[in-house]
Amino acid sequence: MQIGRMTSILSLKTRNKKNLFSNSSFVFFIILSITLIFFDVKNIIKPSVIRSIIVNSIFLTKDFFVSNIPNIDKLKLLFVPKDDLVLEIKYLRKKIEETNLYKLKSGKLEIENNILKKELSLLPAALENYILVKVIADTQTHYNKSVIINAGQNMGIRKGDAALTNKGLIGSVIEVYEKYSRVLLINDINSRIPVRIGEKNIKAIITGNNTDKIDLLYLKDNVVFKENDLVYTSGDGGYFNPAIPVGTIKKENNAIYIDSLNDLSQIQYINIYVNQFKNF
Amino acid sequence: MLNDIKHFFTISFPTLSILFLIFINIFVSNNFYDFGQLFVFQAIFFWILYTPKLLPLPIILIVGVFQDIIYFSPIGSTALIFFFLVFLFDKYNKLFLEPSFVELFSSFIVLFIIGTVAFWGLNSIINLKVLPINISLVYEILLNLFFFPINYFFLHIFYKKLNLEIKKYKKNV
Repeated sequence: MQIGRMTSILSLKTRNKKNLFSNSSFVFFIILSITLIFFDVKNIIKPSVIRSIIVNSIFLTKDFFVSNIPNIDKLKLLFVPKDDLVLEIKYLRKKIEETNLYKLKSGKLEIENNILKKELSLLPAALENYILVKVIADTQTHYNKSVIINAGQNMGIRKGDAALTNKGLIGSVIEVYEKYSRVLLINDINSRIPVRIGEKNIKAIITGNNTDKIDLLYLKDNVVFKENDLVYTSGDGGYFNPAIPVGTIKKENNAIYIDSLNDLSQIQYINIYVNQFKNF
Repeated sequence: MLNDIKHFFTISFPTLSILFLIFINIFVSNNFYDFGQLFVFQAIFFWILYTPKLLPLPIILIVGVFQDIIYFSPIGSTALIFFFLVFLFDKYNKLFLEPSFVELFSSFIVLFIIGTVAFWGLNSIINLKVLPINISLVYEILLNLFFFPINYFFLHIFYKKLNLEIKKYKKNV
């Protein structure tokens, strides 16, 4: 009796519900998605223009909402006691004097340095232009490791520029939009960077696997590494300047991997090396 | 005029709520937790269940492509997973009538896990390499499952406040 009742309830349910969408529309949209994936992976379409428009509009929308939120901290600033302001002025004056002194000292050192370089007949050093940028959207997922920064064509950033912190390399610029850029991190599966390793300057290519452990590719047989050997960019291919530290060699159960010098999941500020080497 | 705007806002509310969740996922939650790209499936699941007419397949395609552009995934990959999950939901939906929240939550758990595994498989195929599965993927699933009731609660409030059920009824009539 119970089973009979259950069967009748199930049949009632099945009878009353209709399909939400037709099978043909599902087939059409699934085929459309697969076609889009194929076109994107094979680079048949170049979606950078669409990406640029969408990324710009997203951040413009975000800026619009953020700028319209009342800033309580600014209101607090309107009510500062006079004594505090006097103290602040004194402190700032002192700082200005100190800065001027440092400027004078550094100017003197620069002149001295140039004279010494001339004496030694050294070649002039390549221009090293860095732009300090902020990570405005951490778009890292389990399958993609990239971040969006708040500088783009407006700051002279170009595709292929190196992204680094004071510790070492974190990735490279792969897409440049009008006011924003996207940095592909070194642990992304699609990242490939030519490097040299240790004191023996062994050549290799590193690639990410979407984890913290970065893999080594194209190594010669019987190459031996020491634990904590430094890995740095080789400059091969002309994209990165040579000798930018990337990470250190680590060994685990006879497997070798590279441990990045930066914590790639906690990046806030990045220096973009506006690459002079590319034009070399 | 004002009524037209109100009506337009009401019928586009499911889409707007999904876009809002995408924004939350990029700018707010990513600083604390990694919900992953399938986070918005929580809202898709809710609206497909209650007002499927207001969330047609082209909108799901646009949402998927939008996410792919933000997260730099191959364009179409997220949409494909969404279609697959909606397809499963559509077939599974026939089996129950006016389900309780527990039943819905169970269906969401099953669909979300299937979606995560399918997304991993799709990315592995695209990259021609078996991608590693680590603990972060498990955390991602658990976080989404934990936040589903919260999202469901808020979406249900809007669903009732905006009388979307009546809108659906009017449209069907």
